[in-house]
Amino acid sequence: MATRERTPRFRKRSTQAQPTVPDEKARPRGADLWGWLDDRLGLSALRYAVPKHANTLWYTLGGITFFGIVVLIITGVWLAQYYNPDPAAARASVLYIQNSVRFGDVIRGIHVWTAYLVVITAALHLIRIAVTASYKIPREINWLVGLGLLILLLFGGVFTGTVLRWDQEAYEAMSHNMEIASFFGTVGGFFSDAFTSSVGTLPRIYLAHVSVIPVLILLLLVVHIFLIKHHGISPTPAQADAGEAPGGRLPPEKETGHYPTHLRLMVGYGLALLGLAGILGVLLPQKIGAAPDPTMEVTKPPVFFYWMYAFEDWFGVQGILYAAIAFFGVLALLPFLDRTPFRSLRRRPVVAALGAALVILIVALSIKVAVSPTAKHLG
Amino acid sequence: MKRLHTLFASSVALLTLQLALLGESSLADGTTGVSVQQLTPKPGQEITVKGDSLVANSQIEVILTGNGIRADLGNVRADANGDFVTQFQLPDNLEPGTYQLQAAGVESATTQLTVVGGSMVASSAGEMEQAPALRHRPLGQKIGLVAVFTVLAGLGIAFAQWRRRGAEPVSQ
Repeated sequence: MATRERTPRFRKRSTQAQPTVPDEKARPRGADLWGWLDDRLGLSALRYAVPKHANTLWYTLGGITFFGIVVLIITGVWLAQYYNPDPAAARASVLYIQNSVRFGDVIRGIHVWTAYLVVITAALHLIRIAVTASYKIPREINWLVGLGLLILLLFGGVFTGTVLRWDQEAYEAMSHNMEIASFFGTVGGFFSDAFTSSVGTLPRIYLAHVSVIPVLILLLLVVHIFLIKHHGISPTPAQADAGEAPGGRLPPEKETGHYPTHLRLMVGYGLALLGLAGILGVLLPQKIGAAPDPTMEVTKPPVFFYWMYAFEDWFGVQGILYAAIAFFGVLALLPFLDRTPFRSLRRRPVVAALGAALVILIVALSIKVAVSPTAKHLG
Repeated sequence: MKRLHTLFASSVALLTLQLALLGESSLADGTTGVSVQQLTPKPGQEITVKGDSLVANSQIEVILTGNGIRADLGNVRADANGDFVTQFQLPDNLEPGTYQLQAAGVESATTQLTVVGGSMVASSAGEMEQAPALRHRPLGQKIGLVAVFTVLAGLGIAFAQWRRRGAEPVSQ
C-alpha cells in the first residue's frame, strides 16, 4: 500500500503519527496516548483504505475466523494446563476438566464449539470467495493457502482434538488415522503408530494439536494476510465484470472504505462468535464417551466428517481418503479450471452447478449418515 | 479383501472371547492360529505364546502392537507340525489396554491380550462401559451463564454496528 494514495483524512492522521516529531516535549504530556503508542508501534499503518464492500459481514468472514482461532489458542492454552496426554490418564484428565476444574466445562465447551464454528465460518468464507470468483488472477495462490488453512482446521484441529478426548470415538478416530496412514506407505509412516515405539500415538497427536498444527496455521495465516494486503481486497463481481478493476484490483479512488471499520466488524462479530460458542457450550455440553475398547467400532465421527463416513460405508476406510482427495482436489484446481473472464456467478454456470452439486452432496450424505446406524469399517 | 480381513478379525475376536470364557489357552488341534496364556497380563509379566498348525519349520516373529506401541517380543521356529510354545516377557512400559499379538511368518496369525494395571481402558474386551457422568450445572447457573454470553454476543454485534460520527456507514 506504500505506493497507493490514501484518503486525505487518513493520510493526515498517518502523517501526524510518523515518528518524525522533532521534540517529544512539544507534545502535551499525557494528552495523546494514541500518539505515543503510534510512534512506537506504528498503529496508524492500519489506517488504510479498503473497498467499501470489504466492510460487510459477507467480507468479514475471514476476519471472524481469525478471531475464532485466537479464541482457540487462548482457551487451548488454558486447557493444556489440565490435560494429560498419557494414554493411561488422558480421559481422566478430560473428565477432571469437565467435572472438577472451576468453569472447566464452560471453557472446554467454548473451545470445542469455537472450533466447530470456526470451520463453519472458514467454509462460508471459502463459499464467498468461490461465489465472487475472488480466486481468479492474481489470487490463485492465496486461494490454495486458504484451502490449506481450512484443511488444517478440519483435519489438523478438529480431528486431532477429537482423538485427545481418548474415549471410544477418539480411539476409533485414531484407528482410522492409522489405517489411512498405511495407504501412504513410507510417507504415511509418520502418522502411524509404527513410526516410533518410544512414544505413544496419543502424545504425538497431542503434540501435533498444540504445536505443529497451530504453527502451520499461523504460518499460513501470515502468508494469507500478506497476500491479501499485497493484492488488496478483491472487487465485487459487478465491479470486475464492468472493467473497474484492472488486474483484479480496484484503483485507489474506488477504495472508499476504511480498514479500522473492518477491524471493528471483525472484533465485534468475533465477540458474537465467542458469545455463541459460550451459549452452546452451556446448553449443549461436550460429552465424554466410554473408555476405549479396541475390539469395538460403535461410534461415528464428528458431524463435519459425516459426508466422508458415507464413502467409508461404500468403499471401506480408503473411501475417506478418496472422498477427501476428490473434494479438496476439485477445490484446489478451481482457479486453474475456471478460466472464464467473468466473475459474476450467473456468467459462470459450470462453476455454479459444480458448487451447488458439492454442497447438496455434502448435506445429503451428512443427513444420510446422521440417520444411519454405525457400521464397522476397520479390519 | 476387506471382507476377508473383517471376517478374520471377527473370527479372532470370537475365538479370543471363547478362550476367555473357557479359560483355555490353546487352540483345538489342527486349527491354524496363535494363542496366549494369561490373557490379562501385567506389564513386564511373562506370557506363554502357543502357535498351532503354522508352516512347518518356519521362522516366526512374535509382535505386540497397540496403543501406539509395536514391540518385537522375539523369534521362534515352528516344529515339523508347524507348532510352537514359547515364553516371552512383555515390555515393562506397556500401557493398560488391549493389544494385538501377531505370530508373523510365512503364515501369520493374530490374537489379542489385555494388559491390566490401570483403570483407563475398558475392563474387558467386548464390554463397553457406560459413559461417565458429567457435571450438571443447576438451572440457575445455566441461565446466568447463558445470559452472560448473550450479553457478550449482543455487545459484540452492537460494537460491529456502532458508527462513529463522521465514520462510514456499515453496510450489510
